[in-house]
Amino acid sequence: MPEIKNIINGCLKGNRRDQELLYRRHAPKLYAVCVQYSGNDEEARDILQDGFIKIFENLIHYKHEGSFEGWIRRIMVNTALEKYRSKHNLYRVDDIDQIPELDAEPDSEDYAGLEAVDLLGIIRELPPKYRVVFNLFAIEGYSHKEISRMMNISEGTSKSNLSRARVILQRRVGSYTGIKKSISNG
Amino acid sequence: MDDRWSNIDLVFRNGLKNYEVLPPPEVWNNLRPVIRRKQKPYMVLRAAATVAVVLSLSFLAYRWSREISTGLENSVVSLNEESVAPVTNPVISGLLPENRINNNNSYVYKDTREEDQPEDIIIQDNIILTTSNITYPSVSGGLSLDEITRSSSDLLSVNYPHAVTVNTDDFDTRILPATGTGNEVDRWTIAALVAPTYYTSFRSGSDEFSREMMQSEQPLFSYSGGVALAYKINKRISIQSGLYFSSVGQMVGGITSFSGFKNYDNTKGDHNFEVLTSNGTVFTNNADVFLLNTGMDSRIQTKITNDVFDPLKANLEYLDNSLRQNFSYLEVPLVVKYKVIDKTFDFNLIGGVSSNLLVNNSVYASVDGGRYQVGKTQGMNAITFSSSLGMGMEYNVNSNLSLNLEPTFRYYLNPFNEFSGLKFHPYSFGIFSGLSFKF
Repeated sequence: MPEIKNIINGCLKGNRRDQELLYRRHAPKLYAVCVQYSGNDEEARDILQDGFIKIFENLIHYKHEGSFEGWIRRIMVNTALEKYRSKHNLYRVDDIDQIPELDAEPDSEDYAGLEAVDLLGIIRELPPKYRVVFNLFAIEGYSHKEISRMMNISEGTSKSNLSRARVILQRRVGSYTGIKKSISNG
Repeated sequence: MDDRWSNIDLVFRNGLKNYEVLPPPEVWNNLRPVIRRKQKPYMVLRAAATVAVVLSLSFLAYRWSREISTGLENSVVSLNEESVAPVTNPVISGLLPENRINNNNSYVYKDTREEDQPEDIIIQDNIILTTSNITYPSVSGGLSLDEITRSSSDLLSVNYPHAVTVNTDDFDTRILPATGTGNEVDRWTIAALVAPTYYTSFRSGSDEFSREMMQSEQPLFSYSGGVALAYKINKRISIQSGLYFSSVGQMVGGITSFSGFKNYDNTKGDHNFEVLTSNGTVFTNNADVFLLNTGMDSRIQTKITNDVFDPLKANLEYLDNSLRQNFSYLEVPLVVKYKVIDKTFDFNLIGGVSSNLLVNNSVYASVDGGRYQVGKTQGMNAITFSSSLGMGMEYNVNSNLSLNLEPTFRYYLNPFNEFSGLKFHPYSFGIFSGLSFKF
């Protein structure tokens, strides 16, 4: 397989084979990111397409210093955030105070048997605001300070959104594992 | 609270970290023209530059061949010793300073038309004058001192027998059309030519993937043939055009094809497999075909992976162990033929350009000599341009009919598939043979 540096150089020279190679090599992983941040397939496709256009446009700025995979993932996450920001007014998010927190600590056995596709399905069921904060904090590893800047919200809102997301996820996990168990038991 | 929930964060993070989802094909199909459009100005400039260079070279070659032709026709100085006389004319010698005339080497013109003198003379800068267009009286008597002594270059001199120097400003000159004009009655030639061609490409894909991909590809038997019409501009130069049909292709190894997949195909979409080749990406359009990669990695893109479908457990019928790409073109060439030898056996130099229109694009598996349709190569250029260079040997059976043999090298100025991206340019070599008829 060709080195990513050669592929990037080829893309910069307009080499269409390298552009296609770059896309095919990274699109599956990036599309998973898009699915993770979007509520439906159509939105995920739009994010992937817009994200790749940005990647090709900004390849010239990539300095080969950090991980290329991390660089293009950040572009894709930022594209997903832009998409979210353009739409977030359309969604109504319940007030955090109205959602009681679960008392019980999540049991690791609850997650046993959950596959990636299940986790992705559960995340997509989250309201957009919670989904984005959870993705940024739990998956991408951003701090609440960074998230507040990225989403133009306060740190407190970021924290409360994360808490709410976790509560919902815990409930979903419970119902998923319950359904799975009942299916496997016959 | 964060510690309490770190478990769920970790589960999602680890579970989704390396998760991959194959995107729908339409994303790339939508993306491709966007990237292409951004590249377009550069591509257009490059194509324009290439055309400009080719046209310039063609023009220069034409001018050069014309000059050579003219020079050959007039290679003998058409003055003889009797046509010139030593500078003893008292008019000129009396008017010019002593040091500006070399009496031993300089001559003046003498109108010798009445003595059956050839009409053409050659001057040093190869401009041909006719004696009828030279104003002789200004030499013999009408030329003023000022005109004659204006500069040293104004000095009239004839360095017989090699050359004649004339100040062209002082004469009414007219450039003649090239001599040796062809026979007026046989200016047109129609020819039928056909050739087996060897097609391959200059390949500069430097990365390992490209090299590996191209190593697995072999050219298929190619041919070209058609009708050409030539117009003779003069005795040596002809312009030729026509209409040719050509077929080129390549065999892509390391891909085994099977039929019978339709019974297992539950997927949606317009194609099941994509195969990377140096000519572009092949999309299957036959839902009954299953492709198995037996060569290099990552060559076949498909959503029908081994975990979805196991070909070994299915009832599939083997077709072929390679794919064959075939492209057919209608070609309209514009070539210049320069005749070097004009005897019973003529010899021509041929060069020009051709525009090639894609009329067929197919990918197939070969089954018992027949073709089993598999798909098409995506992103093929509808029109390509090529340049050609060749030699034409022509044996004149009689004054009208000739046998032709033309070994021709053809270089494609743009690749068949802009999108394939590899920096390779196809070329072909063919030996055209056929008959031509002059009228």
